[in-house]
Amino acid sequence: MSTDDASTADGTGANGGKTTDERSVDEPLVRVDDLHKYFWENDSVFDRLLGGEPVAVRAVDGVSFDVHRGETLGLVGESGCGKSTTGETLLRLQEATDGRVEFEGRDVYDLGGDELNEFRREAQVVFQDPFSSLDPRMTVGEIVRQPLDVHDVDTDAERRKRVRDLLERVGLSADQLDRYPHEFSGGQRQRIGIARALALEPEFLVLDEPTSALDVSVQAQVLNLLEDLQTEFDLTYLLISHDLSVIRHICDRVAVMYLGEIVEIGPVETIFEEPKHPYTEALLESVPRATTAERDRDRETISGDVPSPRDPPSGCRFRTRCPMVIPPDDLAIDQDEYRAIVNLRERIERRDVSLESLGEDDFDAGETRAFVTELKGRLLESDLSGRHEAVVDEALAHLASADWDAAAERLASTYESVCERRNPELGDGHHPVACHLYDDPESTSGTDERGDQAGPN
Amino acid sequence: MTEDVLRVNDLSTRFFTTEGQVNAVSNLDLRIERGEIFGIVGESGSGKSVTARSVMNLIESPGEITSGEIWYRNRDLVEDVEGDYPDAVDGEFVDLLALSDDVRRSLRGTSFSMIFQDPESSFNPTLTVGEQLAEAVEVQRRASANPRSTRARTREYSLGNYLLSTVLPSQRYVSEASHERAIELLELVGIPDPVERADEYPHEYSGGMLQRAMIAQALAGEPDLLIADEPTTALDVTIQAQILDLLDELQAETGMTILLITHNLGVIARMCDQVGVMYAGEIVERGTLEDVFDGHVHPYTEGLLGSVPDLERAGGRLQPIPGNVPSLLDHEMDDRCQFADRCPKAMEDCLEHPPEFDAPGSDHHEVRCVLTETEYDESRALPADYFGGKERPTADAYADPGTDIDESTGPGNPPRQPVDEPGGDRP
Ligand code: SF4
Ligand code: SF4
Repeated sequence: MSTDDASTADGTGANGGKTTDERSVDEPLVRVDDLHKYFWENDSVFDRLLGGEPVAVRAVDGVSFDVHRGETLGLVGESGCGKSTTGETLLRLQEATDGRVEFEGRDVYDLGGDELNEFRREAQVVFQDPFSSLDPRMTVGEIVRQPLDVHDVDTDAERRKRVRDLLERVGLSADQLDRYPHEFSGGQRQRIGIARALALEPEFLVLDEPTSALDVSVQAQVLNLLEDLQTEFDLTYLLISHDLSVIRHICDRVAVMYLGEIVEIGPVETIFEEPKHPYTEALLESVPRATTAERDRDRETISGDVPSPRDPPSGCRFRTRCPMVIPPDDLAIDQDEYRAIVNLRERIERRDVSLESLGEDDFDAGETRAFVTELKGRLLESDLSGRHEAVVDEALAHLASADWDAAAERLASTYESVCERRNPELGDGHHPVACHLYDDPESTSGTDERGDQAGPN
Repeated sequence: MTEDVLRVNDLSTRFFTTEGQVNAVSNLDLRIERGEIFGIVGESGSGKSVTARSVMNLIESPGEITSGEIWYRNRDLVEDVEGDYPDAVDGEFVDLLALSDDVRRSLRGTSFSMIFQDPESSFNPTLTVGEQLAEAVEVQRRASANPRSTRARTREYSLGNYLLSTVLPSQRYVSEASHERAIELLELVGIPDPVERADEYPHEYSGGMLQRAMIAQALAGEPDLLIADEPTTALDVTIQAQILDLLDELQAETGMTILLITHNLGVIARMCDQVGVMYAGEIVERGTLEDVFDGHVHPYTEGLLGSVPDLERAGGRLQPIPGNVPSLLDHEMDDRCQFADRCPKAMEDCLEHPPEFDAPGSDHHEVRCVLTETEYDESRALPADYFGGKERPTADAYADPGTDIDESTGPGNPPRQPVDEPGGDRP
């Protein structure tokens, strides 16, 4: 692909697999490799006694990325996409289910003793509400000082001085040291949280929605502060946010997450100016711009909700909402019609259609026809063209006898998409994207029966 | 059509807290024309939600509307109330603040409806969505069949209504017709397969769908004015886009008037014809979308717009407003421009409370700032430490607790992102 060319133009053209040249020149500070974090539901002793099967919530499901020294990598996505869990898991605040995280070349999950202590000093986190986990009876001075005490840094006098310096540095006055968090505004509390995170002179900060609870004028102050601190202390940031404007403003590179996976990653300009993944495009389209041109902007918004991470869709996880979902090669169909049929299939496969109001399930031929017409009217917004109407009619007729599997199969045999058969791989390079629209043509056609096997890498 | 449907004059809403009197809304004027979308934008504590709640008569103790008039144009209502409240009537307008609580309550749903940030609060988890919508329809039907002209009858109605709803399970209480109307309403707000969805419970709906259902509930009584208080703040951006599209379509279809309260300037730009920018309980700049976004005069409007990072280009440094949201405690407020302590252009002239001046642009453009009529003059500028000198470009001055009125009076600000992970173990 053309953009891949750009990514290797400066290198020796080493492509596929390890980009060894990149590694030796610029070893990333953080390297996340195939990280998984599942939560288990119905997993208490009580549930097991009742014979309930534990259900995996696949919050993070195979995520890989590097964070380079001095950069800000953004992790953006909607609620439930796994961005915050990714941040917490890579810091070992949560136990990973699978995968590997390296910090300065060492495996974070293998660390113990002094090495672990060292990691805990070097890598810090700032949350949306930095005080939800702190004792409200601690003064601001104690809060900022606590990490210094825990890690037993310096003498008492030095610690006191350091706390004052930190507060001054983040724009508070040192005489506020003895006040309590509730006496401060949201923006000031976030500054205190940042001061605390900086106390141990870390290299790496995970910023988890640091400005999401703040008013916009205060958010701007905090964003400016974060930029200044990064320059001053050579910090590396992982910024987790749902706010695309914030991401664009502050990040060097961006990874877009959807349902536990990264769907696209690249330099911030490229992601915002030439997004490739249909989900990234939809996200960008959805944000209302604060300008008078906004009313007349053409918006391509997407319908539907994010599916549950308990039972994510097969293949590409965005396929249930994707406006570009790919029809089978040999099928002549326009995209809107295909999208409508895909939605219908989805509902039949989930058995999410109520048949009760249509009568009992022993129909004669005439009644079946009426049943199909009625159901079609309810489930489809516009008429289908002849050939596709016939297929849908056949499928719906199976529902007259409540034969869900037959109905689903009838539709699958004609309309099954590559997007549901194979999960597109993210791949390597400067701007990889996980979408079959960008597969190279040889690997998409003629590999129908790959099943769950990974795509080309 | 350019007739006012609502005229708010000199509205003040105060909260009498242990720390003192909080001036949440001060001497506010507002005119909303029929069929328009009027947006009020402001940050936490600006008084935007309190303004909406004052119009809806939802201010509760320790809050109180201490002065003002809320004139609502409705000929039927004039007929209903002119006998009992001759002073409350002026032509086609009725002053809502001069009516009894019972009469005002009877206007909820039919004349004014409100939707909130959090739809869960509008639904009872133990009843199906269809039942609850049908109930809303039923209540509106009775209300409109029931003359508001005497207090006694209104009270009788409410009591009967109350008894019915507690004694009888609501399925039986709801008629076939209202059930059908409930399904129509679900269809109207774009819920697929409304017949089946009507029989589901609120927890079976996704966040976006429940938001739609809440809009359906608000529309059950075909209100004149829909007040939407941060309607998309808790939603993800792709769902927000869907809900904004829906509100836009419904407005175009039904011609209803919408008062939209939000902290999000993008939402304002997307939706509104007219905009009021609120700061410290006052509208400091108002006008058409173009007046406020492109021709603004007030330094606060400027600061607000300058604080939003640009989605469409890699901007330089943000230009935040220094300092913090001001204290609204009466004894800490001076009678001056409320923005003066944060304003980069504050002058001696600003120590007198500025009136609203006509500003260039449309006829609607009015600005509460001396710069509308006076050039900035450095020789009259206030010294940097005039207000105590605690201000620094990146520093917030110490702010007193308890001034965040919007926060303490229910759904509103500040925006909060829903906790990210389902099944996660974050607090
Ligand atoms: S793989 Fe298919 S469904 Fe997924 S984003 Fe690409 S086109 Fe859409
Ligand atoms: S009146 Fe004065 S202080 Fe107030 S906004 Fe205008 S210039 Fe600034």
